[in-house]
Amino acid sequence: MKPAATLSPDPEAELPLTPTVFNILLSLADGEKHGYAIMQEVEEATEGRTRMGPGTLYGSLDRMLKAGYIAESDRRPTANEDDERRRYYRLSSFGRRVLQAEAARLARAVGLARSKKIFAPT
Amino acid sequence: MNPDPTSPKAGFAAWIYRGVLKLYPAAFRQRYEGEMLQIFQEEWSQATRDGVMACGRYALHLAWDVFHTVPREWSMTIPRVALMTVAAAGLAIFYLDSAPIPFLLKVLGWACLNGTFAVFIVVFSKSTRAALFKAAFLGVLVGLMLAPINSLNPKLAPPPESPLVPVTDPSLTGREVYRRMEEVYRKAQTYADEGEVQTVYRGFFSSIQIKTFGTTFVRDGGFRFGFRDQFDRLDAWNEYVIWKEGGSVKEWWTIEPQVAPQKDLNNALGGAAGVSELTSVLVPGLLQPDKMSGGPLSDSRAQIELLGTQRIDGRETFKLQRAAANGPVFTLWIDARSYLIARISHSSSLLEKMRMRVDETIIYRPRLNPPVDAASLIFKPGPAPNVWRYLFGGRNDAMIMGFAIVLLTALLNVIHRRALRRRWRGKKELWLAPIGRRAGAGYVGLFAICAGLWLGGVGLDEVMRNLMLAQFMFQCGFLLYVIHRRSRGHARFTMAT
Repeated sequence: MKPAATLSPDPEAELPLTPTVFNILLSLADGEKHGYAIMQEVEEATEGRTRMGPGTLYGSLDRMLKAGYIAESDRRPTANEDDERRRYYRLSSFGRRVLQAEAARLARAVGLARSKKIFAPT
Repeated sequence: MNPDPTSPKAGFAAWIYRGVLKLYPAAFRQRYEGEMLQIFQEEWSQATRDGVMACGRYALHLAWDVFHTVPREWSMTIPRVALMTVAAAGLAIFYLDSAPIPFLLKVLGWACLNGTFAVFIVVFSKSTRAALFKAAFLGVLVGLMLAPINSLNPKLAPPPESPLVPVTDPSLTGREVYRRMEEVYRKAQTYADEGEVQTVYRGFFSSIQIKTFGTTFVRDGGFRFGFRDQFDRLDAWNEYVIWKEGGSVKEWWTIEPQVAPQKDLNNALGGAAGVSELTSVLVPGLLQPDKMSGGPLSDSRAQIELLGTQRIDGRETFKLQRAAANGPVFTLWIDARSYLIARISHSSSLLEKMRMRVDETIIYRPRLNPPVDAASLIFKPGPAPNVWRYLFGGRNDAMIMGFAIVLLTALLNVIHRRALRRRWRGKKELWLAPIGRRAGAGYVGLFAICAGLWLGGVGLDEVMRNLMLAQFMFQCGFLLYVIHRRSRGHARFTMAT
């Protein structure tokens, strides 16, 4: 799915991302997933700090689809593999660039914090 | 992990959640309902295995999820034009304040009115569409101001009148009719009436207020005058009673709920003249002209003109205009048979520049020399009022709503404070949000000042209620603005997630 025409092609223009959007993009970085799997992975990865409800999850996915960050996968699971009603989502190339830009931004912030010895024991 | 299909609890909870999902816009629901329900069943199933506390936690988590995602999805579904239309309709509802519409709709009207502030902020964005919206909205506002919208409200229309017929008898002058009327009242042995005062405030925010009154009079005997009006047009009544028997004169008023002995009847009725819209002194002054001097209808130098005869309320009446040197111009309709007053009207200007006018019509249903039983002259003070009820309009449900408004205001304040501090730090719009400790202290101070004024007898409970309401609506408006800003996040992608 191509990014919407109104979007800037520059991923930097999309920053900063909200924690939820960043976490959803991150969970899709290593492959396509369905909604519940994304929710579980985000909760595990953030040690329970980011716990999304179904409304938050699907509202975000809906907007990310429209913004072109993610795309719906053509793949449908077979009946014995998983629930075939589930939709799978994958990262688009634009979404990947946005994720990379956000990760780089966060890394720069962490690097700055390190240089100021924020993490040093007091 | 699949839910246990045999669990009746899971089925019932899913049934409830399926109902909750109907709060979302249809398009969103059609696309995601199945998956959301599936996730719910899996998580709920896990929570039931973990115990009652886990179920409670998950239910709360879900409630919060629904609470903050439903408005967001709707805000993205409803076209801005529709929102503007609702706002304009709300304003119209507020404008037609006295129209027979439910109180809640009026509150919504208030919400839209206060929300307009948030709507106007949209102008600061660069969008041409936003500017067009503002122009359209302003157009609606100006249209409402200029349009003769009062005519749409039957209650605000002037009372119907039949054609005026000129009087052909040259001996029947205005002064003669007036003299006969005065004589009838002066010689009445007993008199009783019931009636109502319709006060129509005409201007940008037109409204109507109706007070009812009643008089019972026995010459050289008892006297009772009472009137009542509604608190804020609700069904709680504000009553005023003036009573006389022998040399004892008492009065009682809901606002000052103690039986107060008075020096004399003249003094007591004169004190109620303002709040009773003159009904306490008009007819009582005619009944006892020797005891009540200086009444609005007692100036013998006033110019009286007979305009003609007219049928009102099925009665043939003389229509007179009476203009005193330093008083209002009264129009009187005097029953052509009994010479009792059927109706009095007068107008006054409040604020000339703002075209504010007050039209007052007093409708009498009088009875001359009726049998008066002792029961109709009994002094019956009303029940002691509940202080808290009057703070919010004199009605229990209004009181509950009032407290709910205060609580919601506080809650919204907290939500805004947390949300805006985190996301909007340093943004130019932040000053628009009445949030933070200072604002919180301001609310408490406002509440305390108004409550103090009320307890001190100043009676500003309505002011306080409206201030709190306005504050609450402002918070709602600002919340809508925040949702709107975030809904535009497709481009900037500052989604509320």
